[in-house]
Amino acid sequence: MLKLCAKDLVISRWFWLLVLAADILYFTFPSQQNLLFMISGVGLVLVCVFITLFLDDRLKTEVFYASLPLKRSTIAAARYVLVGFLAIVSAAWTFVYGYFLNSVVKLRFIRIDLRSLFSVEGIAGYLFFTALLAALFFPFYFRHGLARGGFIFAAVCLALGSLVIGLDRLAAKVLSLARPLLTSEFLKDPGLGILKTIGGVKASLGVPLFIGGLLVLIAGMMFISIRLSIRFYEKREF
Amino acid sequence: MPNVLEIRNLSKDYGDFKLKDVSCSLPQGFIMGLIGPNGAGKTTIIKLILNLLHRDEGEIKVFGLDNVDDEATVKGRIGFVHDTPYFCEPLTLKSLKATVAPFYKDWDDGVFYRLLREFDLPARKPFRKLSRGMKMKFALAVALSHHADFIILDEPTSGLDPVFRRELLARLSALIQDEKKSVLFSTHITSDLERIADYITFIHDGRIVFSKAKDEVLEKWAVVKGGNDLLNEDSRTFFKGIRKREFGFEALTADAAEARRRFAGKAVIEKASLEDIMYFMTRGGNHA
Repeated sequence: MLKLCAKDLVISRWFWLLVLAADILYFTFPSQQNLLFMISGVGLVLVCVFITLFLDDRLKTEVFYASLPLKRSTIAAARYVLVGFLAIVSAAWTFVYGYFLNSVVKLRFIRIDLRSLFSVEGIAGYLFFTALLAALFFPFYFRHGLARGGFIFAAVCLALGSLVIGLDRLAAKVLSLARPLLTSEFLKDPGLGILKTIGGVKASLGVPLFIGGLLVLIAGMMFISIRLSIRFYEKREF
Repeated sequence: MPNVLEIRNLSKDYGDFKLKDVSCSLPQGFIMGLIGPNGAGKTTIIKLILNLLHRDEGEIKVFGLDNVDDEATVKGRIGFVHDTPYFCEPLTLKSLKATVAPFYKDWDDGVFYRLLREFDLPARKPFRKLSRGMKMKFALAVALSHHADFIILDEPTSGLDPVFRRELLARLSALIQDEKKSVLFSTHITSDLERIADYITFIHDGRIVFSKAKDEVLEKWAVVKGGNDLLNEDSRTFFKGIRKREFGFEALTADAAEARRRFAGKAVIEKASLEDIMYFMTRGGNHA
């Protein structure tokens, strides 16, 4: 699996550096929020993975790599390892760059609360959303290919987003079960709002249970996703 | 001599095309040519061997192992060239080598760079800047650089100039001299196979027409040329394919000895080339 990731690194490295350059440029624009900075971390992972898959798809190299002495399950699982690798690099980069912007450049128009991001809540949110997106995306990718799989993935994300908003409204306004999440305070800086929400869950569960539950949730999601991806990819024909 | 490849009752249904009940085998140390017109099923068979397609029925054994259950082991001993060489275009040949070599435990850098030199391929040139022929040569260099026991080539000579085609054929012939390596070679350039193949498998419309030793095929099959007066109900049944012209006919038979007995002195009987066989069996059916 690591050989496959190394292969992706060799093939996509210059494109990944371009994405990094775009990220650097993007954050020189004013009115940045914590949310955008948080999303940029996850976004870096997604864009880099997408570029790798796009190159495979466009250059039709999938046929070649499927002909190598590898099991389909190894090829499918290697994509998840790649996400893990990119998630670590992206997180490290996000914090280093955030620290640089806050402490060295000290631009007044950039407001990034690094302390909040570099917390249990921040890391939990980053890991959860990266894992959720990867777990959702890959089964569609391995079942339908990049274009169709990507389209279905986008539609499912949209549907899930709408479902979360709908459930929030339903719970808060119609059933009066809980305080709404999407308040005006939340929307002022959704990044900090998300962290606050995660903080609320952490406080109610306690730190050990929160971390344990999160790890079980992520492991469960990834396990199901990998099993599905392998099953779909083993059925794929070239 | 053990069989390096054994295919038994292989079937694959695409809906609009069916590969039906294909069986053939290749003994170790020989070259088998897979011939047939475009769309006959040659590439489908090769993709089924490499598990790029899933069979509906039948079995494929490579080195005595199931090609699906022992996929990684089997593929580790196979060198392959697809009909279109798909590699990551922006990378140089050297970088491409770095992405492929780690997957083969017997990869030999020395052989790889020697082949690049022999094929006049610059290691630092990006793959996208190579001509089709050069791309094919690179794919061949990769296939031959890990001491594979079984080389599978899907239309490797298409796009190659005649000089390199001959070189390649000579190289393949040399490769099997130790009687340990075997080659499966699909092509519609039948003259290539007449030079080097030991066995010929002819496939048409998803079915195996024959799978035999080349010498046996070339000895038994013949083209009969004669006047139209020789064509009657009985001779039409005897021929595998007939092309009728204004002043006579040409026909293919799988029994040259019987043809000599029947038409001695009345018709010209020549040895059939693989191209003759392919032509008559696909286009020259009994349409006289």
